[in-house]
Amino acid sequence: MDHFVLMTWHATLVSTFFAFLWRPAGKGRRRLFLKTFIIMVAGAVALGWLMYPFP
Amino acid sequence: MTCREAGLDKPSKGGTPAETGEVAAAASPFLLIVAWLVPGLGHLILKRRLRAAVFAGVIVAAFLTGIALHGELAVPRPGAPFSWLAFAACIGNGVLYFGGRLLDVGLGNPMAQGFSYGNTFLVTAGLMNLLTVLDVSDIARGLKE
Repeated sequence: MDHFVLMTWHATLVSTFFAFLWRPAGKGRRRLFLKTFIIMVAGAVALGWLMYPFP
Repeated sequence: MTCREAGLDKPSKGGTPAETGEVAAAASPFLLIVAWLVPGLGHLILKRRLRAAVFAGVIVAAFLTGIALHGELAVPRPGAPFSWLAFAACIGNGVLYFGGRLLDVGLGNPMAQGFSYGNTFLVTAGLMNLLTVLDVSDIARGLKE
């Protein structure tokens, strides 16, 4: 079980959901998907690195 | 199903309710219950086919991932208040929840490596479906296209 793959899959599903929920169509929808997806994945990786020195 | 049965009030003049500012007091309870029970069906009834397909796909995919990871379809437990929150989120899956309980899937295996991840996917799926119910209500009332 790869934790990163699961996290990415979760981020994909949630980003897709909110992109379709909050934007009517087109470019705005794609931008929201990318924004939320990148924030979730990159944010989790960054937070993981920041937490690395702590026990 | 007519517009009124679906909770859609026809605008009296010019454009949709969202454009004219006319808002219905409430959506049909039948529509909301259907939207909760079957992911995507509420949007399908309101003729939002693409959104219906995407929401159904996303929610079912999250639900099945949770089941595959040995997550638990939560039930309320006495003395465990958080189990009520998990139950409220999981029951948001509608027929998927009841079907899973009937078929004895989603019983959860705390020893499984993916147990916590599975729970997260199941809770997420339920909460997303509850959000689609609110979206259906907004569309039916004319607050949203």
